[in-house]
Amino acid sequence: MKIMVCAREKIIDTYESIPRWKKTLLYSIISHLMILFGILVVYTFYNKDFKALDSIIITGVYLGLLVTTHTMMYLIFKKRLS
Amino acid sequence: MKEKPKIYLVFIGLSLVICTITAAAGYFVAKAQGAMYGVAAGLIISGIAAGSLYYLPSFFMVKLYGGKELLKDDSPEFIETIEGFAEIVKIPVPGIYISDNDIPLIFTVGRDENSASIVMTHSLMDILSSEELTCAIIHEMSRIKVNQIYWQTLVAFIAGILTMFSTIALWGSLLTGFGQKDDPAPRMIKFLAMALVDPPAASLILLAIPANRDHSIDKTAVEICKGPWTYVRMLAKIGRHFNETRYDSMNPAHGMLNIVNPLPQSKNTDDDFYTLFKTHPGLDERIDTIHREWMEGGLV
Repeated sequence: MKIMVCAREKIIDTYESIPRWKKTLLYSIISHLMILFGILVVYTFYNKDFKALDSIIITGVYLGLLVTTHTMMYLIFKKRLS
Repeated sequence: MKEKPKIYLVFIGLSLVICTITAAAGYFVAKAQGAMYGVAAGLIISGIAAGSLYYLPSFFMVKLYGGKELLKDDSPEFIETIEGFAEIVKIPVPGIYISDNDIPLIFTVGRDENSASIVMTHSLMDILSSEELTCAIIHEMSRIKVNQIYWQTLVAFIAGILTMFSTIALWGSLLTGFGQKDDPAPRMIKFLAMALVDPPAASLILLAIPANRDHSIDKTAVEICKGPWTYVRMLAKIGRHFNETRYDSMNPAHGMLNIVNPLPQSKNTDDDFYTLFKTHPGLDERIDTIHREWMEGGLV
């Protein structure tokens, strides 16, 4: 039980030490991944079939754009907010 | 870079993007001839878009905050005072708009110094003395003098539309039966919507607005006020008010227009997104800089 409490405190301390702008980027990535999940669900229902190749292409393009935009935002926030 | 070349570059870039998209669409439909028609359509759309982006933002911002123009007949003494300040600052007399908004705000919008409008709220007039209000107006006039108004109006307009998406998401969740405003589900939906739109909007603002913007305006304003004391008291008073009172209805993208950052800065997770829109220097740092520069100026 004590180990659990210590681990929890350690996790909270680590989380608190992360700059707030970095946390917002993390929330942003999670939000965008939820949108990607929605897109894949809608695409699959529209086709009435799960097309693995199409889903991989959609995911690849989406994640590519996501990583590019978030890297740009990371650099802007790092320069202006840290 | 000065304001005009930046604006031309943005409009040329926007036109190129629109023309490329319409030309590609035209080529897809009817090959080479379609591409020609696409470019023509793109040029017309670009013209309309550029015209809208040039004329709409300031009008939109004034209407959004419910500003009503203060005419000379309404308050002749106040307008005469404003005319006097405009003469001292050496700018054309700006339009004065008074808003009933409960957030103490004062900001300037417009295309250039000839079409500038200063919007201030009744709540700001309530918390400041007449001398402090004078300093706040001089701050806005200094902003007009250093010619930064169209760029910031345009950026606030575009980023503000983006950030409105989270409010739309909140209202959408309330109206579709997810619960009341303070229930977990609508709050989570608003949080996720903020996570989608706030970082890009904040990046746009941070890219467009230089970090030392307020220092140069403060310096000009303090020179016109002939001393930093009332000016600093005004800044401290507004800053203290925002520390004590939380305004959740403030659009975070419009915070950079105000004289002091009006966004909540508590340690709540909800407020993490507001920290992205930090274009003003810290108030203590700003006041120290004003005092230091005034002392170094050898005028004390």
